[in-house]
Amino acid sequence: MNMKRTILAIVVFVLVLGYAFAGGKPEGEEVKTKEEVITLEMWGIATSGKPTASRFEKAIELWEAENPNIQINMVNTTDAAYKTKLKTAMGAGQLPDIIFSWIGTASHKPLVDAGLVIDMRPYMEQGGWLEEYSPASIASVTYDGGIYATMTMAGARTVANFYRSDIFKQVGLGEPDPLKPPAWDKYKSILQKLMGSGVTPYAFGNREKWPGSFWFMFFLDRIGGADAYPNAADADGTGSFTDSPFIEAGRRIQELVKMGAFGEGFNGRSHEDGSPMALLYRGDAAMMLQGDWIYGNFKKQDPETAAVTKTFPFPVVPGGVGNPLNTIGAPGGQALSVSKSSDHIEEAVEFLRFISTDDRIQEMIVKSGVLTYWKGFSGMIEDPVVAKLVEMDSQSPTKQLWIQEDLPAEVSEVYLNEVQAIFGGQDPAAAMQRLEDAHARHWAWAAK
Amino acid sequence: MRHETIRHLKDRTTTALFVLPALIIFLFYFVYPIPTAAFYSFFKWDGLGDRVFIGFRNWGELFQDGFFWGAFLNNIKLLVLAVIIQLSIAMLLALFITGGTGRVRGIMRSFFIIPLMLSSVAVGLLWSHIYEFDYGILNTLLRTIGLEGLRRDWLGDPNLAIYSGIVATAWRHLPFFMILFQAAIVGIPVPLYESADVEGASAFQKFRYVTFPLIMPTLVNALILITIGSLKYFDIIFALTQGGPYNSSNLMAIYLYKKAFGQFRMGYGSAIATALFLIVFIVVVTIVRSLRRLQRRVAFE
Repeated sequence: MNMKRTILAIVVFVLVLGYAFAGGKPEGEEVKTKEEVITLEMWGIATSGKPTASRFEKAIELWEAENPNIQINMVNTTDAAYKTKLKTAMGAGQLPDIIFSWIGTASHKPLVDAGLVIDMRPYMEQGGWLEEYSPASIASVTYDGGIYATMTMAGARTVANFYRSDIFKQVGLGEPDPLKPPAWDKYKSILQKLMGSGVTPYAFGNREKWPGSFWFMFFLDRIGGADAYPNAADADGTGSFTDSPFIEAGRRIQELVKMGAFGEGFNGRSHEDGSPMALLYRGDAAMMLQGDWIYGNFKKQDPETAAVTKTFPFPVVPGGVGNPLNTIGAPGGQALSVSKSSDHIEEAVEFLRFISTDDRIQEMIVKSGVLTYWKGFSGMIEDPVVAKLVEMDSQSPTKQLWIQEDLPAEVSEVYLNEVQAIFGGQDPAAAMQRLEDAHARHWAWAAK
Repeated sequence: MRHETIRHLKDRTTTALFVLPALIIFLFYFVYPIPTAAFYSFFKWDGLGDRVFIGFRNWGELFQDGFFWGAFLNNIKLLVLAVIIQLSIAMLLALFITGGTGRVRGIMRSFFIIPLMLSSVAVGLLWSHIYEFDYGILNTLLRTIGLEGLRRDWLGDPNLAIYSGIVATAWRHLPFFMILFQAAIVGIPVPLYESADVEGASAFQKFRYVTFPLIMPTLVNALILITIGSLKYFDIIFALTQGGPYNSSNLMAIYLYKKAFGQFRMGYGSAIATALFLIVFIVVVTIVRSLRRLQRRVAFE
């Protein structure tokens, strides 16, 4: 009896010890006194499986080979968890040396407003760093003349009509110009020709609501111009979501819905589980209005479809004041900023300069098929589809950033719901009124 | 003190000590959160920053919140349909698998229990594929047997979404009540049925006059469980529709989740949580009271 008990006690003790030592911290900051090695802490969202993960790894490898005394410790979290992590760190005022944020007013700007990150313009104006970028992209991280982030590792995001040229040929349609937005009547005749031959024009899944948001953003920009959204969304802006461009955008969407451009069942169809892609691959639908990343999906999932995929821009809308060359999307790149409270600002900036300008890294990123905002790389792009997308994107004077990312969480949800409701047939004027109410309520609430 | 008293005290103490750990956990995880949520409901709080006292503002907003009352209505729909569908089918299945030997019935029982063994998310995924518009099982089946016109956007049509969710939920949960009822039926002494047979009772009469009254307590319990479950339900509906399209299949618990964790409005979410608790409390107490009166009447028969 005693023997058994002793053994049991030992086993339990060992297990408890094991528990105590499990989950220990990997790496962490070790300052080796021998060679004065500094470790820079960097936060990001390049979790394994994302294309950015391997790019960061390679870039850090290259840096550490040339700078063995400055190590980089990158900690990656999933997108949703990162939003919370960033918020918490900002609240506590404890940022790592290098911090990622999403470009725009929802994520990057608060960092700038709180005075937590440094102005990198003095550094970027030396050594040709600033010249690497297109003006539009630098503008997206500039506030009051200061440049508060560099952008690298990921491509710009743009949205275009992806279509199957083989189906177009089958129904007797010519290939639309990949750089010139078609006129509205010509566009509608394309839709009608497809429907006449029994093909649903668009493979569209709006369950998650953001795919529908692309349509709304494009129509809004075409009809109301690039100022329409900022006017309504800024807290002290002069406009409102009930202004006519918004309602008109809703009506245009319903015009297409009634025509049958999206087929049936689109509000319940999930985009993220691939259902619309299945329609496209089977040839039941011919087109998809989606972000540039969808082409990568095609190549992986159905190379036959990818082989016949081509693009053309969103059409012009009659009576609209927006520049027909405008695009929607994101300016691109992970916005990486240096924390003001970092002990190694110089080293951090040098690292960022390296990964933003080193030729080998730039080549790696461009070759992986992303849209780039660095000048002078279009020749290097091998895939003709991507090359055309880059060209289309680079001729765009302004780019409307994702509205659902720009609005505060609560209002963003109402926005997405209302756009989905418009797709479902509800009155656009009423929908926009509800959005405006939610927007007003949020700002009244936040002010207290 | 006398020996008996000492031993009596010792028993009491021992009992208390054994119960204490469970009681602590119960108080901390189940009881404490309720007044805490009520407390938070008077504040504006994003979960991370400061808590700002705002009195009854959250509550005022809640009373006028169309989405909340829409969600409440959906919970009621879920409750009514759950009671009708789940309890009746569970009862029929229970009657079917009780009585008579037969390996077939044993196999049937194992078969019917399968939904209960699946996690809610798995059930959500499964039914998503059944309800999927283009290639889902339901629509494809309708098309194959020539009823193409009956194809619907089961999850995307705001008029249908909640009902699609209710069906999936019923499928998942009714085996539980089947087991509950079967256990109760098995407890009824056989001689009662024999005397009913002697008096020439039909199957339906046997059910109405023997089975039904004697499993009444279990039925009452089932009703209470299904009521509480329906009012606070979240899982499968969330997995299928996330409360959409445009809040048409919202439930109070889903709305609470979206407000508190999606929009970082912890104060408002706490108000919803407290309201939910109060609603469940009131409803359950009402049901128990009225059923107790009913039970007394039945017992006299």
